Amino acid sequence: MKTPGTTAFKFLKPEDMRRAASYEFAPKALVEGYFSGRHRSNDRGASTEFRDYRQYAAGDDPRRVDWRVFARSDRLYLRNFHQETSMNCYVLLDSSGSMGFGENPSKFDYASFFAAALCYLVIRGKDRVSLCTFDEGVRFFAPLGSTSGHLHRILHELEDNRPGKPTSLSATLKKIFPLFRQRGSLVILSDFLDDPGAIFEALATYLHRGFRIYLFHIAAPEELELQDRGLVSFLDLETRRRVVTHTRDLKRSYGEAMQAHFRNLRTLARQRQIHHQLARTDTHYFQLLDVLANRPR
Amino acid sequence: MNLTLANPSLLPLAALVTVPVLIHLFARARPRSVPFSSIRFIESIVRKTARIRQPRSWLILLLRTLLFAGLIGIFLKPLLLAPNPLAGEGERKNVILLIDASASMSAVEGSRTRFAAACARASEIVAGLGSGDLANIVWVRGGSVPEFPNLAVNKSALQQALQSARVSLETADLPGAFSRAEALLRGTRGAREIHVLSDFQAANWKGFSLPDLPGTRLVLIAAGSREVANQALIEILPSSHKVLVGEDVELTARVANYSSQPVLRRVFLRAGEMTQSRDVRLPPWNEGSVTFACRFAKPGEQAMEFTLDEDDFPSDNTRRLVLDVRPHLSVGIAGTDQETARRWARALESVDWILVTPVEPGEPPDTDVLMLAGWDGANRKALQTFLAEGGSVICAPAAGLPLGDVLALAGREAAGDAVFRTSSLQGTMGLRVANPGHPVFALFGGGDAGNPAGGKFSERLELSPGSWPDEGTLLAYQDGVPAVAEWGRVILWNVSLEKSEPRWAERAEFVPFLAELVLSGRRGPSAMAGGDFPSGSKISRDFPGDTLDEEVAITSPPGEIAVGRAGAGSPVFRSKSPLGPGLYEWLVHGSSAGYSTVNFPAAESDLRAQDLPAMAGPEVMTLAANESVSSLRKGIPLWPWLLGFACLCLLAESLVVWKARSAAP
Repeated sequence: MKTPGTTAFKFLKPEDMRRAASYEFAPKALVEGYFSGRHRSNDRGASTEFRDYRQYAAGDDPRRVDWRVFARSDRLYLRNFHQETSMNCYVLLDSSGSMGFGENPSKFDYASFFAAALCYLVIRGKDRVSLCTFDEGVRFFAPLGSTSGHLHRILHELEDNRPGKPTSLSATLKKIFPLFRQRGSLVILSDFLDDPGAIFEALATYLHRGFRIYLFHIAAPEELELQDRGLVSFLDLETRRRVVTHTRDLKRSYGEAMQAHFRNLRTLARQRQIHHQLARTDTHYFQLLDVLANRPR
Repeated sequence: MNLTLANPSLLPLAALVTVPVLIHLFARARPRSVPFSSIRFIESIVRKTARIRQPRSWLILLLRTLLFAGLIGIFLKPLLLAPNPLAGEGERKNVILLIDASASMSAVEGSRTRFAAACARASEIVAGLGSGDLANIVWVRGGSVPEFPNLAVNKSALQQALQSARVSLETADLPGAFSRAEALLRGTRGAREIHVLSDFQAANWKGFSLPDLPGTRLVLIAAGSREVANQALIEILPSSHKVLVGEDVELTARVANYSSQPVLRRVFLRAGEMTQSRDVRLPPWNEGSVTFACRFAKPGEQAMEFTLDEDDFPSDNTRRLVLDVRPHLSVGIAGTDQETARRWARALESVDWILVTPVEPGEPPDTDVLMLAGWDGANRKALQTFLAEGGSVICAPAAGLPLGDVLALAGREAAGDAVFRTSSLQGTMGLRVANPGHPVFALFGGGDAGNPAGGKFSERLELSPGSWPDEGTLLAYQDGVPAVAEWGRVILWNVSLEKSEPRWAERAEFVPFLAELVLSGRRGPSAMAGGDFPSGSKISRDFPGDTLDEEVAITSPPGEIAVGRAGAGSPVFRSKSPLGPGLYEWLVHGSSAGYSTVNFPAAESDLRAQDLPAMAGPEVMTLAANESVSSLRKGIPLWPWLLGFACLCLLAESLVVWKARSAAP
């Protein structure tokens, strides 16, 4: 078995690992978890560090009532403490046919590089990471884990993974929701060529459950802006359908449609306090780690 | 019209018309395949724009196909042939060019005259003839003449004749021209063609039917393409050509407007030192007139020139007139009734502007008016000659003379065989004025000159009722029998100067009445002094027999015109060449002996053209001003049209493509 740091994986090269080592990623990332750990959670829970008081409501655990306050004021108040937790990071990698588009690297390779680096960083920080690859359904799911073996398994899976069938992100999100038993950060790497309304409807259940969601919109420059190639037959990498047209005729309209799609995704994300980031394959994926690292709590 | 190809061997090229379709289909069938992440957006855009792009694409394909078809057509050289074309290049041809050189051909269209255009077209036809072809030109003018006596081979001579030809100001002699052409073509071998190059002026051609010339093709070629607005002086009408010194003369100028617009024109009259002008308003396609009043102080021939202000066709803006101004009217008195003749003579001798001259019996009188007292029908022929030359006769018939003889002098026929017979009236019978509006009675209108019908008569010449013409009676007896009647140039005198109570001949009003009657007899139409000759004819004039040839000359600006005697010993002198419109002065011993005029033919002023296509027939072809004769021989080449069509398609295709690119979504 290849060992990170000693053996080169396709998507996690030693030089990338050395460079990633300098990232202060984990401490700054928002984490949630039921296990105590070295990260301070925003969730109120059992720990030694006091956070605030809250009036008692029916259903609250009576053990958390501050009887001293009750004795003084004759009112029931609960004491809230910061909860210490370890980080749970769920990485969803879109492996549909459309992700195979692009050259040096393809969108799929670019997303795989980023996923590998992210998993490495999370495990290096003693936190737990889960990887799920999907197209029209779940192709691979690695539950949360924080061991190097777990990382190896993920890296092997990434190497064996190939872009394939049509994507349905919204359906996949609904399907895999029961597998994500613990809250955490949900990092989705996809080209989001799906109905934005359906995607955010599916994400609503994650938000409701307290997940922090990061959408990395993987896009190749040549699909953001069509190159003038004359009369061509466009072959859909997912559906294998063709359309014959002249690039000159639709260049401007296509650019506008892509911009509109991107703006729509971003607007819907902002409305739900979801981070949406465009990831162009002509930029280094480390810049995405920068974005993640500098993300305010 | 038939369509044929000059290069039929290249017909397989027509298959190339499918090239754009094939390219279109091929390009559409095998476009480069480009794998793409998702064609979702592309499909949506393509769906939206397909409704616009697809018809445009078909339009571009159509334009390209048409462009190819046009280009292929150019190489095939299609020709549009007439159903019955003229003889081709290989056939022997005998060609007569009938070129209209009449006055209307001097009208200017654009930068040149119609005649120049006709000569240019004729030159093209001559240039297109082969080396074995024969040709000749017949100039259509007053007297149509061929350029050469026979059909000629010498094309350069014909070209030279066309270059040096000048338009005449004459009327076209169409029957004469066609007759000449037919005579020239008679007996020739090969194809026979008559090319008529004319403006086909309706005034000349409307009444003319093209001759039926078997075996001869007639080609009518229009030399004028549009109507030229024109106003013309068409006639000058003097109140009389024989004018007395000091007499008021009215000169009426008729002006025609040959245009669709009403116009206001000015007519000028110049007579010696005198100049007058009058404006005339002319309705469209109509005419108007202006009248000038003149009086001449000196006797002799007076030349006058009427001019219209300038227009596009100036040739017909001038007309000339010569009036014979006399010191007196000469009146001859003859006949068997000596008493009446004596009383007439005594009365007329008291009038200073009347000269009573004796008349030789049997000879045509050399007077303006002849008064016959008791005419018994003698010298009828001489009298008719006298009347035909513009004289007038006051005739008092003798008893027993048939009324028909008097009417025959006036060129009329009698209703019956009534005879004048002397009749004594019971008591006396007065007269009445039957036609008060007649100029004879103008002097008596105020009453100062007395009553011309004041006499009472006891005798007269009787006529059976209803035998005389109703019109023309000036004075009538109370029972309606004419006393004085004017029948044409003959005035009937049925008044007995002896048997009147009181004596009518001694009344104060008798002399003015008789003088006015003489003057009235002069007023009828008569020939212009010196003669008005048709344009293109030789002018002539009589001179005394002892006049020597070298003594007579004709002058007209800019110089002298050759003149000669019409025949050995003839008193008639004639110009040696036909003359155009102008005023010509006859000189004898260097002194003026009178004038002759040649005026523009009025029929040539209306420049409207006959409908040319309506004249076409099985053997008659018509060509518009912009069509060429070679098209009737070789057919009309369509390649320039196809080239233009291809250019148009290319332009349209570029436009559609450019529009598609600029509007690309």
